[in-house]
Amino acid sequence: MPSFSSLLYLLIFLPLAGVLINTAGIRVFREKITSIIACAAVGSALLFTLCLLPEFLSLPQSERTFSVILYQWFAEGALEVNIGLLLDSLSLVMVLVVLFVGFLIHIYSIKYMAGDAGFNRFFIYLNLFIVFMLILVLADNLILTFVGWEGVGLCSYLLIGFWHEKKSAADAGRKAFVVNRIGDAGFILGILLIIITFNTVNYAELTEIMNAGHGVSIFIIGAACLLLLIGAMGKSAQFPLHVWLPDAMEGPTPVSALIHAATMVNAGVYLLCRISPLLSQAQFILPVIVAVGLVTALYAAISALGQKDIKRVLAYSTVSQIGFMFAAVGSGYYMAGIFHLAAHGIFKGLLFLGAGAVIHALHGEQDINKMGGLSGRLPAVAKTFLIGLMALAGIFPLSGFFSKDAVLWGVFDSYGISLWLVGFATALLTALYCGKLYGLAFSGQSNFTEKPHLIAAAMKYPLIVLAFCAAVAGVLGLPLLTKETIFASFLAPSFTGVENIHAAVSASAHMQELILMIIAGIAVIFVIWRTAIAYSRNREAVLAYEHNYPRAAEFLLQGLKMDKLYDVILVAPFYRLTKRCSLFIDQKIIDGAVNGTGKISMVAGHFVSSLQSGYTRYYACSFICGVLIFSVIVIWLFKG
Amino acid sequence: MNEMQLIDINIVSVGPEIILLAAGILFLFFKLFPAKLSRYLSVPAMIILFCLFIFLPFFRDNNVAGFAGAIKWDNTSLLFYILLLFAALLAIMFSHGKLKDNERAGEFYFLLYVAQAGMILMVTARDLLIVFLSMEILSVSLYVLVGMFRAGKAQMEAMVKYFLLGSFSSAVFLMGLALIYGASGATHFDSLYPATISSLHMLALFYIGVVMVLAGLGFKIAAVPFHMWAPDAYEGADESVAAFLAAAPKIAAFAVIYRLGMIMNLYTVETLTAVIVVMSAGSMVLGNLAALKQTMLIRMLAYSGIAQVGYMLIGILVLPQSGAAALLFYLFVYVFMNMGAFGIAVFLSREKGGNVAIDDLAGLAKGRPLVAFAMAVFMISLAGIPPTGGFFAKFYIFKSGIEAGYLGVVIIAVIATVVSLYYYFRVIMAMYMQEKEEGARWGSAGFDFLPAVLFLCAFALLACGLIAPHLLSSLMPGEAH
Repeated sequence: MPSFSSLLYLLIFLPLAGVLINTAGIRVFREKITSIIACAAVGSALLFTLCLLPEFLSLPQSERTFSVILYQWFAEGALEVNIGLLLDSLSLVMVLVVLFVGFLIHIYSIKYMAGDAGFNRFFIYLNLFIVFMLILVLADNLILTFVGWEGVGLCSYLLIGFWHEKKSAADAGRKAFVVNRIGDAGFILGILLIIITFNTVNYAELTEIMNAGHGVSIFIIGAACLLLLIGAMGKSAQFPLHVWLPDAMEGPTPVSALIHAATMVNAGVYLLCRISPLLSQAQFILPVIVAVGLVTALYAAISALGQKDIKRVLAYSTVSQIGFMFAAVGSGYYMAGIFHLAAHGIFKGLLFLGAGAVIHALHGEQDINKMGGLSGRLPAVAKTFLIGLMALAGIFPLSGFFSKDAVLWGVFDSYGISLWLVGFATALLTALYCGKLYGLAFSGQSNFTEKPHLIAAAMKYPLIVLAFCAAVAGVLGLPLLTKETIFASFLAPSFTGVENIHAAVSASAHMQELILMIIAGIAVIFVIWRTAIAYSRNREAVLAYEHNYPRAAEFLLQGLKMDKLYDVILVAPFYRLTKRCSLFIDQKIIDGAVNGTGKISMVAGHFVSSLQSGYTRYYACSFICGVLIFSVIVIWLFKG
Repeated sequence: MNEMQLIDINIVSVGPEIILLAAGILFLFFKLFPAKLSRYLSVPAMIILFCLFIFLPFFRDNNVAGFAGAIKWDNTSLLFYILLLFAALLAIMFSHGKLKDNERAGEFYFLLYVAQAGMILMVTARDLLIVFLSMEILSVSLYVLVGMFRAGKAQMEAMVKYFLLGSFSSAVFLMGLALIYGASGATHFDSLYPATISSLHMLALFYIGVVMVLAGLGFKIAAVPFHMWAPDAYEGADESVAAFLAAAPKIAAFAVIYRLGMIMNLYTVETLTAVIVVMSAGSMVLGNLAALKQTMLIRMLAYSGIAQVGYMLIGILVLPQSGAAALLFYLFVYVFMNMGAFGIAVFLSREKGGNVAIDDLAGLAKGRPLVAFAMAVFMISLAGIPPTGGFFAKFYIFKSGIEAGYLGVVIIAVIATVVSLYYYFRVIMAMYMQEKEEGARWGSAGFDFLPAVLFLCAFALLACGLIAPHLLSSLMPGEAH
């Protein structure tokens, strides 16, 4: 059997081929050809990964790393940067999530985007996104990861503003771009600090350095981690850099599902997992990560409650769930974080695709207050959506239950009951908005008079596949009540500082965990059930609350007015500052200097070109003068 | 020179030249055939040049020598040879449209081949006399090429000017050669070590001879103060000839300058370093300042080429060390970016006719986005901005200059680069931000030979940026002799 691992680069080249072929035919290809090529590109990469899997699993756990160095990109001094790929269990999970969800979303998009003027362009961007996402997760060093990181950012920017004729879409794209720059600045500085300190950016080498005695102050390592954390916060939309994600919903819904729920926004969590060797040395950074995660989780869950747009509910929910992942990483439970990432990728992808189907069916209506009674009209969508919501809320035995439980236990284990309570409150809020969403949109009376569009098979089957996975993926989180679940022991070799998962758990810890799990599980079921009933049966009575407290409702709707806050404390002063600068510093000083230099150059240029008189005798004269002057120089220096 | 024996004449060592001359003479006969045939001539012309790549494996690592050591191939001359082939190939591709139905096509390819043969001889020559001879072969065919397609008064003037000044420079070169021979009694590079000259007077004479030889070569590379002919000649010549003129002879002349430095260790002598420094700084300052004022594309590119030569001369200063690879890399990138930019001029003059002004580029981005993109890459590369090959070319040259202690020249070079941004970006601005005037049209949007070639050049430049370090290390000359 041929060794698949040596062909690892195919993973990136297959989708890239899709991009190139479709770009070449952007004007020529019909929708069918484009979509077949694009889906085949991603599907073949997925198939390739599945072929790779047996070879990967046949290796003993500690040797499960494939690495391929394509070539040396550049070397400067001791620093070497390779174009190299690294496939270990962590990146394998990421690749599978990206390709699996990505493939289904590609299929879904064929129908969703059918008839759009930019159909071909859309699929090129989508494939390009997959290329960069794979580069991001497969890179074996920080700089190549950064290439993928910026690449997915670019695709995200292009796809948010895909309908750039719409001003709000173009604005949202720009906002995502600007906010991400803040995070990227942190990322770049972090990379530079690591280069200066360790002279390498390769993950394996960094791990080696960390394991050996390196004598570098933990504060420097901590600073590097903190800078990378800022980068991760920007990309993963963590408080206070989350403001771009709700607006990013202006993009087509499959994009929201792929980029802004299942893959790209999780890159921050992936990055933090990759630098686990550094984090395990700089333990004092972990509480910061937990704080960021839990604040985000709670804040976004509260904001999600007040949203009216179905996609914005899901967007805030995404922010909140990524907060959970950060909390897991900050507790040192990297595997739980990645488990939640994978599970969330599946069920949130499902929810977004379901929302897309609803929007598609209702001729573009996105306001949940205007929906209702959809379960009768779109039964398949309603059922799969319900599964997605229950997984999101964390109801036994769906995948979300296992992953969320793992995260909550991690927080409890590392930081005690008080932070667990914050996580628990967030889980309850999650159940609350899940119940509200289902109650308002799917059950109760129909508010929508027009006949809904039928849902095409190409849109329905991805929903069913995802719903099935969302329901059963929890198996990987077995056996319950241990740290050494199937998933965690699969992932463990990729991390540093997680050796304690093999340690036996005491009986009292077992009891605590069991009690907490049962409390959380029951409370969540109760909350989601009661809210769904309340919103479907007493719709008017519940909605009346919103009318009675309009300011509170508005406050929630605007995400606790974070945008406003940014406007007041950052944007407005910045505008004033730039205005001053442009008036004084720019126009007077810089322009003066630039214009002055330009003027001097121009005058000199004028003088120089006037030497070019066109007379041959002058040219010859210049020639002979040159020879004479050089001879004089030579003689003069020769004598001296 | 020693008494030559028959066995010393190694015919293989002039194999490429023989093929070129034979093929060139065949091309001359095409005038006997119907004029229609001439439109297909460019195909064999390109194929023959491609075939010359066959010599690479023969000459590689073999140090083929001939004519009692007057001609010698080493791996460095092989690199120069490859560069020359690229330049000639591009020139033929550029001239393809022009020559389609021109009955003088045969003559054009003949002259181009003869020039090419002269340059290959220059690259392999190890004797100053051979250098002079090959330079004359090159020059004479270039004089004719410059005046070939245009019959106007201005064009004839440009050709005569170029001819007069070229003869002048040849005379100076020959004078320098005589002085060197008088001082040292030798013309072969290997016997030209300054250290072998005992008398102080003779040594002074020797150096003045070298200065004159450098002046002759400086004329070919259009370095200040021997540059005056360049803008006029380029403007008078057809654009495709100008593209060739602005790249290929510079490669050949740089090969000779390089040889003088590597074998004779000339530029380690403080006296001659000063000459190179003045030439380099002068070219950078004058070329860039004069380019600012130009309104015609070709003239702008001519001055920009003068400035580029200034940067390359920094590599000559650092020769025995890192300068060699940096210089070769710069030349490699220069062929593509400079000829590419000239190719755009060919394209535009074909669309519009006559000399091209920078303002004529307005609206190109909308009409022909790929061509505009290629031009943008050329300009960015000439300006030395990443991620193009031009950036790395400048980076390595400047780096080697600083490491060897020529900080002053490098500072001048950096300032000159900043100034150059203005005129390079003016082109990009015209293409992307200005609307074209009414009535102007770009040709059909279908597949076209010339834009495809230009696009490939741009792609090569971007690829150079990606693999720069590998290219650099593979360009490191394996041996000094």
